[in-house]
Amino acid sequence: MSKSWMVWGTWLLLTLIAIFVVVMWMTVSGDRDLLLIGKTTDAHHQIEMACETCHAAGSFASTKAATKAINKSCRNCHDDELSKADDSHPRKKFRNPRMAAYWEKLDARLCTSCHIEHRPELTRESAVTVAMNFCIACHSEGDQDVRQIRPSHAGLTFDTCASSGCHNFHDNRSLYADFLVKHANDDWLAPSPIHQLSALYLARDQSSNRRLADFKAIAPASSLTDSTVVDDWAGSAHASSDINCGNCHAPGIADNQERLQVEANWVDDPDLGVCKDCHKNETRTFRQGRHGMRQHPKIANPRDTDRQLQQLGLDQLMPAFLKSWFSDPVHPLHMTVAEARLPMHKNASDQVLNCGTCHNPHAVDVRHAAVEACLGCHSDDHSVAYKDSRHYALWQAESSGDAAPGTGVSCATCHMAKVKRRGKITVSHNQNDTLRPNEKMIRPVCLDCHGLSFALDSLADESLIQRNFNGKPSVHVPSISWAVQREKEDEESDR
Amino acid sequence: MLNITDSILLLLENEDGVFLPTQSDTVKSVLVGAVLIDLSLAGRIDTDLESLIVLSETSTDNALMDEVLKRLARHSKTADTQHWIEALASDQTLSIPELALANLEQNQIIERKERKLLWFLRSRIYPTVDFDSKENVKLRMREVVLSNDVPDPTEAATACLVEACGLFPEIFSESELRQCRSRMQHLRPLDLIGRAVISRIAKIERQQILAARAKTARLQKLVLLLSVVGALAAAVTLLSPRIPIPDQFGPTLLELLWNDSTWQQWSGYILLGISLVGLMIIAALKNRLLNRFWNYSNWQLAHVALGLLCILILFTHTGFRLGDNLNALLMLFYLATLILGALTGIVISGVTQLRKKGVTLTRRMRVIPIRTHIAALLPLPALLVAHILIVYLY
Repeated sequence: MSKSWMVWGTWLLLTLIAIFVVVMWMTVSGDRDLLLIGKTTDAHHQIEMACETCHAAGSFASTKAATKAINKSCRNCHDDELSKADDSHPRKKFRNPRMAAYWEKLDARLCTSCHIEHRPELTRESAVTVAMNFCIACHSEGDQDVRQIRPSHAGLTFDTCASSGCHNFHDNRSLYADFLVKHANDDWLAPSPIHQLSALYLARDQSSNRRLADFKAIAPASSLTDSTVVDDWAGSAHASSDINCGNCHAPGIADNQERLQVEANWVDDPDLGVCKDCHKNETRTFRQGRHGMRQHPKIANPRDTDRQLQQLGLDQLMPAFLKSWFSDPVHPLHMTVAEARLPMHKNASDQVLNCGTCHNPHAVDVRHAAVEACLGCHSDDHSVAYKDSRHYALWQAESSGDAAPGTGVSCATCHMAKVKRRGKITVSHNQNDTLRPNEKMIRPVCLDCHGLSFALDSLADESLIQRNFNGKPSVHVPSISWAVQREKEDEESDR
Repeated sequence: MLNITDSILLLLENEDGVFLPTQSDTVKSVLVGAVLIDLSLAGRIDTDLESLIVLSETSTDNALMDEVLKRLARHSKTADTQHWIEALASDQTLSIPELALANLEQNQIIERKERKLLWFLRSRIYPTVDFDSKENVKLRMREVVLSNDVPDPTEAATACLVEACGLFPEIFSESELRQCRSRMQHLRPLDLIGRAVISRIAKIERQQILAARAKTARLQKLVLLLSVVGALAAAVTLLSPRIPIPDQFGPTLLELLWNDSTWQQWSGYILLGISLVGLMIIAALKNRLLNRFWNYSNWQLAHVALGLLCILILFTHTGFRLGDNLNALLMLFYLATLILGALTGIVISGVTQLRKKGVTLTRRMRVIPIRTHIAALLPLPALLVAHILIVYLY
């Protein structure tokens, strides 16, 4: 064989091997880092290697089936959020055949019409991947022409609909006209500004704070040498709720008071998964937010190499060493601070995001978790400016007992909404629940202390947000005055 | 009995009744020479080294010979044989092949037929009907070459023209040709008019070589220009910031180009197609499959032009976006292939220009750009398959 044939033969062989490897990665299993066509959005980058979470239709599905599956995947995680948001453009509205004329313009039946992944160049605020004047698609002609049906909107351009603090595509709960009119005369600050649910939550916490004696801790003697740990536990809500050492350090035992059982099953560093047995709501909401989304139940598991090969009829042909090489990497269950795309403190890079990151498992100090835990990692302008803000001064006053519970404003006050359900106050651990858009924060948080106009103006002022609301808003959202004016006009025309 | 013109013309016919290029300068010169020899043998003209003299204007009963004789007699000034060969061969009003064919047809050696290709292409063919005549010519030529006797003037002149026309391969096998090469060489200078024909053919060949060189030089300059433009365009593609998609709702041309899957598929597959054509041109040239259709320099120019076209289509496909991960690798290797290809074009086309200025590039200096151009090409098939699969499977 000539040298030339050897060279070209080797090239052909290497090319075929490379193609085989890529096809295996795609259709069977293996690390698919190299296949990513573009940076994933800030929220989804944590789960970008669990491809099947979104690409659920399988490798050989038709384009239609693949698109359908991706959109179903979106709804798997975001449907609850949209339902609670009283979605202004729900999918069911656009599935009606009478809306067919709009499908060509902007098919609102599909999430992917406006939100495409892996296209950082197109990705705007809230992961929107169409130009922000997208309202023009449906509201610029016919009986939906907003410039005709709302004279106040006559001279406005469509790029201002969503950018001026007036409208959102999905969640407009704080922007409904009757809500605006109802709060039109609110003062900028309530006479006695107290966040009611926070006050109730903290009151609940205090009422259950019955300190136990240290000797009631049941654990191996060698684990009771750290008096701080024991002391923290004895003063915690856990102790007063009969949660003893064994509940976490010896999970699964029948009686946490039985010293022998506890000692026999003792684990020094228990998996913090033990928290979820009791804190179901917190666990559920934690998994919905960016801190814990890797543990969301809808996140796809790594592909099973054997099963994939069986489906292709190749399981007998593939040698074992290749099978182990072609296996999906294990998706880490927890995000690390280093993986965050927001600015973080460098010394916190190694932190793993689980319950213990914010909560000392023995002391369970919610006040620490409400501020210091956040600021221990986050170093963006908004977070750094917090300690110079009026909100922090109020939080300090409340924490020192100089002010009533609920008067202080911590990170958690705004970003971890308190929810009252069946008479019980729980904290949503989805810290993104009141964001995207930030007007979602108005009803559950801002309005307890501030007037709607002030809240709208503040949340529309990006510079003020960066300064952590240290000052007055320099932006004015005119929607309240327009809504009031329109109501007056309607009343006059009724007369 | 066939005259020399008829013999040569018969040897020019292939088995389908189609004659080898009778309109080429070389064949025309040979045919003119044949007619002049026939006139000489018929005692109508005489030639020496310096002149061709008309001895008699009496008709020869051959239309072609009479026509040529008339033209020779009409000219008052004395000129040598080579002048007459050149003048008669380039005379647009004298169609020697047509008259010669008419003569053969009249003598029922060939017949005229119209042939239809598809339903609109018509062509005329002249299949031989008197095969013995043609075979006789071949046999005579074999005897002349294979025997060591001194041939008579007619056979010597015919052999001389057959050799000048390069028709001996029609008569002899390859091994015979090798054996008789020296005999054929000896037969060449035996006839004075034949020598003039050979001299004329040599002159035509020299002119053709010079014309080909001039054309190649022009093409090389074009290759150089396109290569420089290609290298700059590829460098711009590599270094330019991406062109943003307009931030306006509704399909704009740029949004369709860089965001619409149908447009992306069109531009992608067109790019692939053109790249493959460019690749196949060079592969086919290397294996000498295309040289018969177009000369090497033309194909080289086409290859460089396709490379430049690829850069333009690459822009419509990507808008200066380099992509991520495997796509970025594909883009980098593709751009490297284009840039190195352009540099190869610059080096190859620049060799001639540099040689004129006394600078000679070593073989190594010429080969390195070609090899790196090919090396950059090697990972592309695998990366391209991966790129296409990623698009369709995800």
